[in-house]
Amino acid sequence: MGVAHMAVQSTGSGTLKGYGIPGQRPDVIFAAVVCGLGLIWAMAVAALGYEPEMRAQGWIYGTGFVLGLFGLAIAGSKGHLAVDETRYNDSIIKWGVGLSTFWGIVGMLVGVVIAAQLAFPKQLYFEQFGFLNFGRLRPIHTSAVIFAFGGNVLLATSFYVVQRTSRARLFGGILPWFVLCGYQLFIVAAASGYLTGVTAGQEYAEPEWFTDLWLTVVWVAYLLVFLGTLWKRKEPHIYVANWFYLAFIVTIAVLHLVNNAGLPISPWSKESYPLFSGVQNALTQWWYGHNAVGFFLTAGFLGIMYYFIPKQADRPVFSYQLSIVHFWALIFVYIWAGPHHLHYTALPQWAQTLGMTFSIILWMPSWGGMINGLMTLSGAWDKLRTDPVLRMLVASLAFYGMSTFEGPVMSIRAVNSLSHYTDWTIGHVHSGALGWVAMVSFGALYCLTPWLWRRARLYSLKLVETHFWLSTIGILFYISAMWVSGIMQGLMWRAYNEFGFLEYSFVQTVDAMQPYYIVRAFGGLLFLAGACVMAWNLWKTAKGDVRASEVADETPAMAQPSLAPAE
Amino acid sequence: MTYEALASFAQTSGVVYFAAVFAGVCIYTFWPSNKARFNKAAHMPLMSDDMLSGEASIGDKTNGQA
Repeated sequence: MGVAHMAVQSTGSGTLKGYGIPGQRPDVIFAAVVCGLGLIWAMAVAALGYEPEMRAQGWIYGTGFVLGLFGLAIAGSKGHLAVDETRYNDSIIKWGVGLSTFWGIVGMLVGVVIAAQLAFPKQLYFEQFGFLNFGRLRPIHTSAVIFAFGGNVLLATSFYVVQRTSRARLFGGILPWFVLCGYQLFIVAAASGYLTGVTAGQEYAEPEWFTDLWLTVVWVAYLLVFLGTLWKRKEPHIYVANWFYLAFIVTIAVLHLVNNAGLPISPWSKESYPLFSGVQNALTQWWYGHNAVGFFLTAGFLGIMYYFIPKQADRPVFSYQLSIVHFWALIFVYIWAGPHHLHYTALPQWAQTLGMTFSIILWMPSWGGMINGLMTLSGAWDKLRTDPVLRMLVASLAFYGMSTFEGPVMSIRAVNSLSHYTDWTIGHVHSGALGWVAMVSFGALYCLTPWLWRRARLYSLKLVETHFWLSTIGILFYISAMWVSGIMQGLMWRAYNEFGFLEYSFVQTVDAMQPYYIVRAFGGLLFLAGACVMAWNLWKTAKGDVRASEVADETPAMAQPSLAPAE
Repeated sequence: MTYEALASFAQTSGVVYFAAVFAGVCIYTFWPSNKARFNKAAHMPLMSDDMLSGEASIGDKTNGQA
């Protein structure tokens, strides 16, 4: 292999074996310098920070950078920094699978907690613990499920897919590890900030300026890893899943930088002022917010779809040509849809109409992609009966089709006048987030675990079935409750009596929501229970167990000699 | 420049831009000589995923190989 600078270096010193000669491992130097500089800044913040919560952030970042430096030193002393270019980097994906599962459960648990707070506000309002109130916990839920769970799933699957379809090891030596660990530090710093009140206050972009900067460093490293791997690929063609991943990485970088443009009042303060104000800020925010949906929660997860569905179904992509049209149409159209979040606001009417029009055009690429994924099963439909993992992946596409139908409908100004600011929006988001994003992620995690740990099968397919039904029924409870509650809310808000006064006071509309909030919390609880079942199943699969009651079902060819019955 | 002139320019150039991009994508996608390559690419997820140095099941040339 011709990649000499990444190969194992012998330094003559036993303790430094595999560490490499300084100067020949820019990745190691980069990680060490970033951790070192970061640690100096973090210590200064811990000492000089204006606000107590800023000093706490200094401690959190400092701990992260110290752990990073320790990790680097330990890995170096044990020779783990060596890079074997003839093998895929799979250990990082194993960590990604574990972290995805962990953050998924954390994020969904917080979701159930805040759903319960809305359903039982008297019992679950803690006056003396302000940090446990809905306003603090809600961004933790949204960021944990989108960025921590979804983000780790995207890191893990993109690292898997780009290596396999390029037939090249991940680029950058330890740079992928820097990305994965740095991303966890971003998650912890952002979440602890929300709890303590360190927030920029923009939806899905709550992290403050220093956490934004840290994510920028991590994200540029991610882009380098991905591009570098494509650069040294041994396959002449770049597979379409990688296009979707690349669109996701590049666009998120642009969105993040523009929407968070601002100026801190001091390097030692948590406070910063955004560059945009008023309607410019609103437009930028929803250009960001809707493209977080379009490129983080759609393009990235379509990358998962285009690899894992063909792989699990053992069928080629239904139409590769459709996938190309799908890709270019989706990315060219999505970027314009954001203004539909600002109907009936100070945003000029033409800009609202533009956003609405592009949202409706989005039907075409969305459904084209869904049809492409579904039709990939042609010739393998019978597998839906026997393979619950494939069923989960296909169900995610059904929910994708449903929520990408509903979204354009809601973007129409007349519909939006009823749906906006109501629970209908929350229901729509969750049919996409639970039905599409989480279900396709679960499917990918069920695929990756036996592949990475080299197991012949999952611990239990029956538990995958259980998970499938818990999730599906949970989503149905959730979205049905939110449809009814949202439309009712919208109708109550616009109801006038015969004298032209509003029929209902606001608190009456809130009171009417309670039964639906209880149903919603129950649906979320089912969904969380399903994720816990999955975590158990993946854990046992990684250990190499097969559920005792399912061993007998196995054909001898598939059974693995080393498998021991569970318990 | 009046608002009407600006709006008319934006609308017309927007239509032309999107139509041109879409036409370009379609020409690339359905160009006859690309068909074989795309049909092969549709099988890429089914390549052996075990060994980096393993045989490729699709694609007949490699780069970077000594």
